[in-house]
Amino acid sequence: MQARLSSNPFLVLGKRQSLGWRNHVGFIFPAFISAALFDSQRNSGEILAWLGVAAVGVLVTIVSIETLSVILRKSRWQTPHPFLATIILLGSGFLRGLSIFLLAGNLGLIDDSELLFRLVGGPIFVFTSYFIFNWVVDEYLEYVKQLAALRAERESLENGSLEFEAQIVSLQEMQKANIREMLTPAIWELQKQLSGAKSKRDISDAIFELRSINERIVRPLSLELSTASTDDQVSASAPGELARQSYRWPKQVMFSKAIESQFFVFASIAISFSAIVSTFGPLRGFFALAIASVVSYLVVALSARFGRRLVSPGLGLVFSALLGAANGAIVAVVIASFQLTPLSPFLSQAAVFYSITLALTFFLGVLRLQRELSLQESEQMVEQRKLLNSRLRQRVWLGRKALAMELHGSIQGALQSVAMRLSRLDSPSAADLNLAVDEVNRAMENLEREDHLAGKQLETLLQELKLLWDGALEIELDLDRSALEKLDKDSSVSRCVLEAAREAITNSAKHGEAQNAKISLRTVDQLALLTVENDGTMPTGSKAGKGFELYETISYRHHFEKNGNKVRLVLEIPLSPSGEALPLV
Amino acid sequence: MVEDEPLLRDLLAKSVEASGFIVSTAANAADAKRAIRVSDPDALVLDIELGPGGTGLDLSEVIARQFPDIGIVFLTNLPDPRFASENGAQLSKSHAYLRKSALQSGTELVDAIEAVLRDKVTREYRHDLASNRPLAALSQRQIATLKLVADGKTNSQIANLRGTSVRAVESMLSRVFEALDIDPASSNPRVEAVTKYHQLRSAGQHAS
Repeated sequence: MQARLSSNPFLVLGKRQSLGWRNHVGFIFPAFISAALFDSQRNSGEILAWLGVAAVGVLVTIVSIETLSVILRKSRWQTPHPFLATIILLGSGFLRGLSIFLLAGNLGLIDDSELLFRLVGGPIFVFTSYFIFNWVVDEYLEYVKQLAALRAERESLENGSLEFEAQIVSLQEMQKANIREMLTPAIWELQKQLSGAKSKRDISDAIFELRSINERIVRPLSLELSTASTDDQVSASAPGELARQSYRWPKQVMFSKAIESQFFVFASIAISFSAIVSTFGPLRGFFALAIASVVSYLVVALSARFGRRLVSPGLGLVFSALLGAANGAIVAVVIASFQLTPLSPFLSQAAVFYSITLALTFFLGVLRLQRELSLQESEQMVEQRKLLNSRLRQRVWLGRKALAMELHGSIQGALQSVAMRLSRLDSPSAADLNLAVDEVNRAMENLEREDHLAGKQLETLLQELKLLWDGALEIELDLDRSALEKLDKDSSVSRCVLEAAREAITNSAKHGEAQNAKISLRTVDQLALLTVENDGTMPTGSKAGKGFELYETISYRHHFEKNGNKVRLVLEIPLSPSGEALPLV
Repeated sequence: MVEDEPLLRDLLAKSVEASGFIVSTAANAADAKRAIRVSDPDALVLDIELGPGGTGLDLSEVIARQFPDIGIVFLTNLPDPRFASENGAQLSKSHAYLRKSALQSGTELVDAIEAVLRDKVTREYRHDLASNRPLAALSQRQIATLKLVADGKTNSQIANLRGTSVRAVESMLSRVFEALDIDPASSNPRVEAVTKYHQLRSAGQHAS
């Protein structure tokens, strides 16, 4: 999952919420502020009358949006196309302007000269207001959605983690105890029988006991051990610090990233529209707005180029306020130079207005950056959990394999060989019987063995794999020296690498019909990167699953890819955090 | 004689030598490959699980390509080689397959070697085909289908993967349930079947 908040404000008009209730609620604020601050001051009438007109204007706007949506077949589109949303907003703004003109005209608040301003200004005001609120709301909703998805993923990993850890504890504690509990009395009994054997019958009883231990205890135990946990249930990680879920005020931000010049320009237009048009008149007002927008965009874009330093949010806020003031001054000077208004009162008004607007833009930008940061942190946390998860999967797999192998191999082998040897002897001596007891005990001690490579090094075992297939499949080894040094300290991961390489080579020859293969090994950060390339065919259909389960269990990630006419399997196998072998369970 | 357990390896080697064979021993697949080059054997006695590295099945795959005349006797604790690996190994008819636990003395092993050398391997030397082995009633195709069920695939996904119809998959699964003695009307025959599959497969992966 890639945490990213939407960045194209026009395209997000095509989302479900663009004509929804959140934006309707947001629209109420500029509508009433505009009526209270600009309309009531510029025109005649009490402020309460204008607030009443504003309420009607809001109502007409919302009803128009909903009605136009229905007329334009809202039921057929899940989400509106951005252009369709634009048309609906402009249409609703037109109806709003007309309604306000008619109502305010009837109430004697405005005269007929306002018609053009209301019919043109209404659509612009509605569109810019919804555009800005939609942008902010969309980023918030996107953040909430992504955070919820990350939380769900994390919770799923944590739930699995509990099961997983329970499995490990079960393997570590119960199974070992279980093995000893079940095997030890039987072995004692056997030792007693062997030590006290006087007659051929005693020996034959002991041999029967030997075989019986194998059938009664060792085999069922190893079967139980093998099926104690299924890999399907294992999908989790170890506990750790939870991902951050809420806002945290950042210590430093990059000024250029916190300021969105587009947002600043649109916000400036939306907020100042009524004031500018009412001060300058409709045509001169639009001209002044165009000049102000171009100048503001250039000033902010230019400052963003040089504002790549990390600053504290407080300092950034002060700087943005100062930059806004400077921007306002420049706008005022430029507009005055076109003789649209005298410089004197306009300069201070513009400086204050842009100072507040840019500071607000910066503040919203910091919030947005923080949301993105929170998502990234959550994502990293989930990735870390996945990595831990695969380490634990490895651990369970290795533990099960090692214990079951010792039971099947060492202990069964010892019991079988001792039984067979004794059965061949007509009259075993005390030394023969002692030897038998020692062999069984030695096999029992192997349960504690913690070397997954039977005392060999990974490089040696890979060389042996190459030798095994020599003549049937030519294997080239490309093993990074530092990777081997790391893995030599970690026999558990080495065993995983070896098993994956072995499985991949077998499949290359058997199913891929390959003649040549190359095994490459590197380490990158916390991962051993194993690549097995061959000149055979890409696994498809039922062959695609060959080895998949093993790769899934022991690796963090794996995939097949085509490299020219070669097939490449890439496995990322997590290293133990300490760089040392995981203990056997 | 390829066996990773030294005690058993020496004992088996002595048993076979006592019958007049010349025996070389190896503890793992790579050592076996070296020994094959030196001694040019007529037959191999192979354990399946040989510790870290190549398995007995890997070695038999290599032998089949490079030395097809060498006879192979598998000697293992694994009841069914189809579960020995992810690949669901299938043995050649000319190979013998003996379970260690079923071996009472070295004589049976010698008999199996001789049967392999004469290319007269009967069911007597194929413990993997014994009627009492687990999942004996399932064909390789049925086991493959069961594996897909165990992987969590739906009937339609299985049908897609195997290039067949959903109806055929349903019919195949009915036969699998029947073979596993699972009542199709029980609360969840799929889960029961998967549990049985996992038990045997896991045992296979860890047994030798």
